[in-house]
Amino acid sequence: MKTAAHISAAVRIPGLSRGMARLSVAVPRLQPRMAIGLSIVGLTSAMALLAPLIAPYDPHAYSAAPLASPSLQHWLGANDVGQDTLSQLLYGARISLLVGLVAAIASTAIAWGLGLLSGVSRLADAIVSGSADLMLALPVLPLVILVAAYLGASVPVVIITLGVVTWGPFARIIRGQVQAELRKPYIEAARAVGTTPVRTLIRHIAPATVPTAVAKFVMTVQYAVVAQASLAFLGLGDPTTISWGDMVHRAALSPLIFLDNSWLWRLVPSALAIGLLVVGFALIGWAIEERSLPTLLRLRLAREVDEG
Amino acid sequence: MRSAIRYLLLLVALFAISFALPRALPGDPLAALASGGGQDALLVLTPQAHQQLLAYYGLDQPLPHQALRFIGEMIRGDLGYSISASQPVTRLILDRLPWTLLLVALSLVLAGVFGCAAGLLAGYRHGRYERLSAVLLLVGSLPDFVVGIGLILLLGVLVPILPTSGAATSFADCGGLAIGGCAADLAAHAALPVLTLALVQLPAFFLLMRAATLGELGQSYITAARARGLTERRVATRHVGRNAILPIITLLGLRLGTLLGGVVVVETLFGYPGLGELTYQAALSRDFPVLQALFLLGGVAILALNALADLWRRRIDPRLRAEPAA
Repeated sequence: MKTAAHISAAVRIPGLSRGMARLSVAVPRLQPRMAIGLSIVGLTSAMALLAPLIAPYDPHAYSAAPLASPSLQHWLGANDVGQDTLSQLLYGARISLLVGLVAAIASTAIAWGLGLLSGVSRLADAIVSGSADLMLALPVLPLVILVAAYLGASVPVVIITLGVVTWGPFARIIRGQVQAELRKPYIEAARAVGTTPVRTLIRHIAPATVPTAVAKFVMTVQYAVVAQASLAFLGLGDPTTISWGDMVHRAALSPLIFLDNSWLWRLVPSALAIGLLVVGFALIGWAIEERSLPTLLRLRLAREVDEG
Repeated sequence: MRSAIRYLLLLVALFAISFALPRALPGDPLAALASGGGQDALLVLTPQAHQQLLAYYGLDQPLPHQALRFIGEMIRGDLGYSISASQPVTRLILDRLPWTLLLVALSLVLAGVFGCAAGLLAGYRHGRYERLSAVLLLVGSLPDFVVGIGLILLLGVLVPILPTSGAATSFADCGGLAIGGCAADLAAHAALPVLTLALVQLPAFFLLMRAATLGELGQSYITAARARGLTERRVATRHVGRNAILPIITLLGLRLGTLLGGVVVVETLFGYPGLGELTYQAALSRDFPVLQALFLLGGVAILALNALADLWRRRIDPRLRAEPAA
């Protein structure tokens, strides 16, 4: 068992705190899967960060003839109003990553905090179980569409909505882990030497749930990227920003798109970029799970069941 | 009994959300109406007209009154009046429902049957179909519209054999009695949307079935079945399959939420005249009564399907019947 050997090696590293040791299980030696995933995400991050430096044109400016085909000046041609596709692609990476990361941070923080609390507090337990149940019954995309229609689909609105509707099931998984952990002898030992419950929670139980939280984080990023792209694809994007979903929306829903071959540069690059980024996160999530299998197998099932 | 109470509570919570949400959020549907539902006409509301509309939708009443009115309407099955289509929402929904049911049912059956069969096989010969599993896992993570665009490019543009938009050929003359011709036309138009939805849903069924099969294969009752001399095919279908299908039934209920989101995207992409496309149109024109009704309907459908899945599992699994309902 490669996995078991790796875990024990990590735990035995002297001088590392318990939490760090566990964390090193979650951040594995590079497997091919992880390497591919990380390079896709890394490339996208570089695009997002460097967009103002490397984009050849202002993505909003009408810098080319409408529907210009790819040329030396415009490597990926231009869209129906003459905006440079390559520049839009570079800037579009920003929205995908911003929404994905921030929504996932919010969702993970809520799920983790409430999950830990519900392991020790009856009230939090009731809240978590109830909300997780309710979230399973909510049609998420119609709900986000409804909220976006009322509030305008600005980036903060999308981030907050996605953060709020995705934490339930994972809080429940963390809660289960906390309760399993509480039954272990070392907790009793900690109590015997007079550790306060709060300290036990932070010092001993929270680190045990780190791998789950890391995996949840990656999955939620992936989910939020897809949700944001789907919203933008439906025309519910932020009108002042350019995202990949918007680009697909403009191209795929224009009735004449397939009459000539302009779909090659109007539609394919943005659709491909979204697909690739999502696959990148999927690969990372998959690699993480496989590393810390036993606890996370359940998570995989839960994700399949809850989020798709 | 306890699960009945749970479902009832969830239903109440769902109704509470759909009542509270539009009232808690800023933004005014009448303002949207005044701006012509976002796009088309410019409609300027005089103060009197504004008052009239407020009164018409009951929005000038105190909240408890609005709540009572809402409950009464729900009991009568009255989902309100669409702002942009000038039709009762119930009528709009009933017009669109059959198309969506067609897509959802066909794609769920396709994804479920093929996903489960392939999952059973892959689990049974573990280690053999690793690459297939990997590909499916990645396909399952793609957004619906990316898969749909891929299929359009493949089967609609590069090899143009399937129509990429609409539910039927416009102004097609089916000659009244020649239903066969129309059926072929409908099937051709449904093919790409159904294929897209099925392709996106299939991986979840496949992976769960594979995992469940692997879990069952180690059990001693399998050895016992083989020892009794049952054929391997019988062991696979009657023993392993029957047990491995249990989590799939739960999945079926829980997938509906994701599937509904997929339906919105896929119907919009293919211009398919179902509820998803209605959601898209309503979102574009900020038609709040329609959006609210669709959200509520989606939630009720998810709850209903989950309740059905619970009952169904209890029918299949005698162990669940022995226990009191959890």
